Amino acid sequence: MIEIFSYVAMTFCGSVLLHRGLLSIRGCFRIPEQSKLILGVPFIGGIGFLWYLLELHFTEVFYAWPLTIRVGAIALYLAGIVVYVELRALLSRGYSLRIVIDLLECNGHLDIQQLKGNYGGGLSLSGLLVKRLKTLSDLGLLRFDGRKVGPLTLAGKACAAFAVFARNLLRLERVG
Amino acid sequence: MSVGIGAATFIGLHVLWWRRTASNNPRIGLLCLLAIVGVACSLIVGLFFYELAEEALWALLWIDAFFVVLYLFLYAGIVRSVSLTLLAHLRQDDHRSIDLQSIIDEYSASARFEDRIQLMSESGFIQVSKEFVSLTKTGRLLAKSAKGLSRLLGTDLEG
Repeated sequence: MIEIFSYVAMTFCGSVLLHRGLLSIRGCFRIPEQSKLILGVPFIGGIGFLWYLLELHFTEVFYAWPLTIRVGAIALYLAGIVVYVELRALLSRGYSLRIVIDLLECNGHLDIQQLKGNYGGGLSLSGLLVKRLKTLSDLGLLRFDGRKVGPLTLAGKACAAFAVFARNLLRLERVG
Repeated sequence: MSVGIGAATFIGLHVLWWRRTASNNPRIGLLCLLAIVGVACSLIVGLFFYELAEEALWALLWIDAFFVVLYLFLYAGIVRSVSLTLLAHLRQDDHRSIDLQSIIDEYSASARFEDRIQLMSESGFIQVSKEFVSLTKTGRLLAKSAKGLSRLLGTDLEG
């Protein structure tokens, strides 16, 4: 098991380093940061590489790792990737985290109204909303032309319906 | 099958607990505890009902870990995502488009920012006294760690 775990850890570290490297050189090729290529190549490639490593073990030592073990190893790798991607998203878009950063940049002490007005290093709450609306529009969930918002697309309606259902089911009244 | 039973136990417990005791706090610690109960159920079923070998139990644990991680992040999104709140808001005005300024005004007028402040105060990251907010030692550590991590991972802390 330690052997498989080390394969997973090695593939995960390799994928993350490759992703970080691609982010560093993306400017040379004019690839946007959110490009699916930058995210997809290292992580999907990682799945293939990990599968290959487990197959290699099978052919060289003549001991077959059962399919469940290989699926388990891929699942562990994917869990690591989900944590990595979500950690990046949290750093990039974390609402609460940004409030703490704003406070730190103002010597750790500020009036609530000033904090609200200077949110995101001057981005303000309107900037936060516009950024999210642009992302939702890019994802094809709604229409947004910079002044008018909506209506929702079919996928947007499905996401909204799921959010409302889940929030009601869990009795979440005060949300993001 | 074992994974399914573990996941059903975890999600079932989560929904029942949250419906019985509603709270504004995301209660991530409690959710992690329920996840451990779900994973334990999955392993017990695998061990005693399917008599899985040691290697297969590890695989089962890893598959469980993947689903738990996925569910925790999905839940975090449901609880705190501003984007989902916007989508839910726009759903009410089914086929119409809304003026951006009205959405901004409505969001700014709501108590959502103050909710975040209160939540972070409860978590011990900030201290609120009258109209002023100040960082605690833990909050300062969190902010500095986030800045360092964002440099390492190459992300911008935009918010």
